[in-house]
Amino acid sequence: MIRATVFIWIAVLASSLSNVLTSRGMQAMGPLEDCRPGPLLRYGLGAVSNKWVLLGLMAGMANFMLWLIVLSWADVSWALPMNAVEYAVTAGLAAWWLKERVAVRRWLGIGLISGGVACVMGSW
Amino acid sequence: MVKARVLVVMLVAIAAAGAGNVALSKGMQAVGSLEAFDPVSLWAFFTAAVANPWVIGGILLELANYLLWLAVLSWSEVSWALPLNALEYILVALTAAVFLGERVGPVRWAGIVLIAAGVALLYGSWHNRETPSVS
Repeated sequence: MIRATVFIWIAVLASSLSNVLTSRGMQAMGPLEDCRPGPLLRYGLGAVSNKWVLLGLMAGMANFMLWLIVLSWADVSWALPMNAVEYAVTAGLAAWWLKERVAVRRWLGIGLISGGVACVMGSW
Repeated sequence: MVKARVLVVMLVAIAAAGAGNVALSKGMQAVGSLEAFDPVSLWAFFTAAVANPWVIGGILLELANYLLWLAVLSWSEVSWALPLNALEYILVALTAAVFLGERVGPVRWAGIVLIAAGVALLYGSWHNRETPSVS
């Protein structure tokens, strides 16, 4: 199970990376404000052709493939609760790379949510 | 962008993803299970899948979920928005209990209470980004 555990951690890292890369891209795009069809379409096309968003998409696909490999070795009920770690890893990466201010209150919220998700998924 | 409005968009995105999963699952049940892995069978399987109206609808809903998520990330910090996706577990458990009459066990209820408490804490930790764009 060491092999599967290592791959799960790599998968969690890939999906967290995907989150912060996508977030980085959407920060560069700036907040979506004009929702008329023309500007909305232009904004959408700009977003899906942004290099950070595309890198995020690639990291997401890597996560998906790693996850398929993990599932070929391990039980879903054993592997699924590990997904709860993703929120904390993403917040850590966002605080470090995107300079997001993650205060104690937010860390506590993330901790409770991750614990809750682990309970829900572990009880499947 | 007011946090309440971002939350509403997130709930729509979560609902789209949930409906998308149901549609995909319904479509794939109609397509039938994949049994042989030679190129001809695989081709037949995937062409049947992407021609199924439920699968097409499911893919469109998943796409809508992704685009809405991009909009959410343009307004809010990822460390704030990402964990809010866990609201999905609450919605799924309530839907299963209320509409499908499924029995939700004590561990899952405990998990739901933890998620709800965490979401309440996290929701209040919203603040506007100091640097609006890091281009």
